[in-house]
Amino acid sequence: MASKGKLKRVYLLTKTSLGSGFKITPVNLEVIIKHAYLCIIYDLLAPVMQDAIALTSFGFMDVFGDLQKHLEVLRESLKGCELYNVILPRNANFNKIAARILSHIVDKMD
Amino acid sequence: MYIFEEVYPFLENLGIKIKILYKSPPVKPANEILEHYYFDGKVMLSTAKKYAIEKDDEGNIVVYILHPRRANPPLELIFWDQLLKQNATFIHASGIVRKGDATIFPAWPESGKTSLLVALLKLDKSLMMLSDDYVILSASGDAYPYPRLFAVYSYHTSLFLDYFKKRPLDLFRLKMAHILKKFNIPYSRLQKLSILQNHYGYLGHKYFEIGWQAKGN
Repeated sequence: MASKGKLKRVYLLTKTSLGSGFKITPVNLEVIIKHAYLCIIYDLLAPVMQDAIALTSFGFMDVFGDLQKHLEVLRESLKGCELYNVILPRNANFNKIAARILSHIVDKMD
Repeated sequence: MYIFEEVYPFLENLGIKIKILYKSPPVKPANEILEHYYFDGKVMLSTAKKYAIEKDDEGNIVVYILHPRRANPPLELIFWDQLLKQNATFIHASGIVRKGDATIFPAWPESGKTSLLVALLKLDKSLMMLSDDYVILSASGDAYPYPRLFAVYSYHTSLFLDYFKKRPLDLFRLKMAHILKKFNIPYSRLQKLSILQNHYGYLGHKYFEIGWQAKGN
């Protein structure tokens, strides 16, 4: 069932057109933070930017404060997590990658 | 795309109160900004997107849907703002839960969030799905699912074979979109099949034999 959990691991998926293999490497917190910050702008804010401006202008929300708070919450929530970068080749075989990631998770947990 | 029936009780469970009313509030437009946003000191009205918003006396956000079919209020933006007030935020990622530990896979669109999630769930039946597209992270380190529908693109067709066996037209539509994309022909209306609930139930949980707890746990 879909359920909540305690965040322990983050695997940032990065596509590359170079090579055919995939690898999992530890990554810096700032890389994850930058990604999550830009992603919220691209995916959540940008499509409704006019609404965001209007709602901010009329005092229903504060986009600048929200982005700042978004960063703070991300930093807190990712504290103590294991952070990895997964470099995926184009036409990746996700069954193989899933098996590798699963064994990686299980190794770390059990 | 989020799921109305699941999102509202879920947000309430997080202490976020948003009322959705299918009627027009009394608005006397005084200030105008951008295109078609009016504000009378209490209520903001968007005549283009057919919604209005106000804060009630208890500080709850009230969203008025002015036209059930044509209204397009930025609800996820409002949810996000409310989540931040509860020290939580969205992250664009898929995720799984194993023995109470959450693992998330943030990525840009078309990077493999859904493909990896489906492959993991098929591989290990003890894994629980956290989310396909958006995860809610709290400052205390809890990860909550956010009920959005699966976004299915042409490159996902092999993941949902039994669905497309029964819906060949949907498969045709996505394959056409794939061909059009190759020739740089506008294809946006064809490219995405975001609703699978008729066949699999919300969030594809019948497909993965997983359940859904709108009230959290």
